Amino acid sequence: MRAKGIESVLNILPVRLRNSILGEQPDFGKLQEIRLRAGQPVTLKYDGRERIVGRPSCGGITMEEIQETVQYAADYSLYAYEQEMRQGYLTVEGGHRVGMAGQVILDGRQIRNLRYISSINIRIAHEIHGCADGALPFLIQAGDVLNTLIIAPPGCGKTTLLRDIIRRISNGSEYLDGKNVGVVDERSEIGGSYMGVPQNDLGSRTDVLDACPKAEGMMMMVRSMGPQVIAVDELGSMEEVQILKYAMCCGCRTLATVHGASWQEIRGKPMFQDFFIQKMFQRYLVLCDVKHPGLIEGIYDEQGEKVC
Amino acid sequence: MLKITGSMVTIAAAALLGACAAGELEAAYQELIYLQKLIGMIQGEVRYARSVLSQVFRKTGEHVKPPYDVWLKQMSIRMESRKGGSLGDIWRESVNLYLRASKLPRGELQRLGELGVLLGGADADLGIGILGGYQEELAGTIEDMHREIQNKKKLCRCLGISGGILIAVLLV
Repeated sequence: MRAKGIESVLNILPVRLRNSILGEQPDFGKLQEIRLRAGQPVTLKYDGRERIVGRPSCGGITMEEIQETVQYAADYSLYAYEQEMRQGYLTVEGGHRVGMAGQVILDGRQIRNLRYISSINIRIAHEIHGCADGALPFLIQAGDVLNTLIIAPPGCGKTTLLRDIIRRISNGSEYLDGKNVGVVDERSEIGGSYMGVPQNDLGSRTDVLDACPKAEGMMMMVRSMGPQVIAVDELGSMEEVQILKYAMCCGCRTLATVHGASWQEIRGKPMFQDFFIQKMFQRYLVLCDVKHPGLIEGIYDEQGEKVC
Repeated sequence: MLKITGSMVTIAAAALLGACAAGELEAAYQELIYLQKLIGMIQGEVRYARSVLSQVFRKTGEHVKPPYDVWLKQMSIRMESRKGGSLGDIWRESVNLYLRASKLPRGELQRLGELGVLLGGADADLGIGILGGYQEELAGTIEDMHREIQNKKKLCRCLGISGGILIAVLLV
């Protein structure tokens, strides 16, 4: 396992915080999160366990340091991240996600932006080559990819697994020939693209539409790039579900992830009813809880029967 | 004969000084026009591509003449190094450091140096509007300068020649 471009994460921190983290000599390969809260010390998270950085006498993080971090993360250009900020996060080079909390600016009933940001959570993107090895044979049938939905709560390794599946399908393996994969990477987490170029290895036949809303992106991909497989992360709206169904009807195989704890939970959500009624996904891959990131709880077929 | 030659050289030298002063005025005028175009390029990049400022500066820096290319590229490098300082500080310090040698009038340099503090906010339209407003101010300055420059250039040349004649008379 390796953390992609950890320098790009450290670079968005103010010099004092950067040095205090480096002083702890953490194992960046196992680092999952860096949390900054105004008035509190820096907290690191390894494999679900917390580690406080520095002595209490060193003082907590100041609001100025939080603001400096936001400025660095946004490249001094908050306007360029308006859409992402509206959702409470932005993605930095390497695909690391910088989540924020503060006071919300509302425009009517819609969130317009955040101000007085007081908490930051930097989630470190990891690339684990081979983490999909165990699951891959169950997601392929007669040399073709089965429509697959990956289900897991946040922080359980959905994106990491999806990334490795994409890479394997794109490059080809003993189970199938390499296929053209279209990735609609709305949050730049799958590819970790920087200036349009994926920083993560997504395989040799993968096209990435970076920072593009999933619904529009899937339509663009189908129309312009002719993908054999379409991959998207974190389905969350009815529109995205509808477009995914459209892509399936166009003959594209689909790989998608969704937040959820179990197959049953997803089946109970009205938004996904059609998938189950029309048996659109042939495989549901469920990951274990946050204590065991990346561990597969089970793979189910369209009937809900466990195949692995 | 020697006196005549000396007088002619003195007058010619003074006239040249006057012409140089007039040339400086013309250069400052042209520099303002160039700066207006450059600000337009930055504004266009922000408006059209919503690119981050460090990229905008780097990209624009590739297409402009010295010393603006160095100014923009160095500013981009400093922003990407993230070694501290707000955008306003980086912009102002870079203007003072790299554009001091330009032909821009002092007052314009000061006004340009204050622009950076207003950029990079969450509202793209505001940033675009600020750049647009600065372009309008520049247009006003250019127009004023255009009106005055012809007279000033004539004045510089006349002062040069008459100064030269005066010195020549005094020396003779």
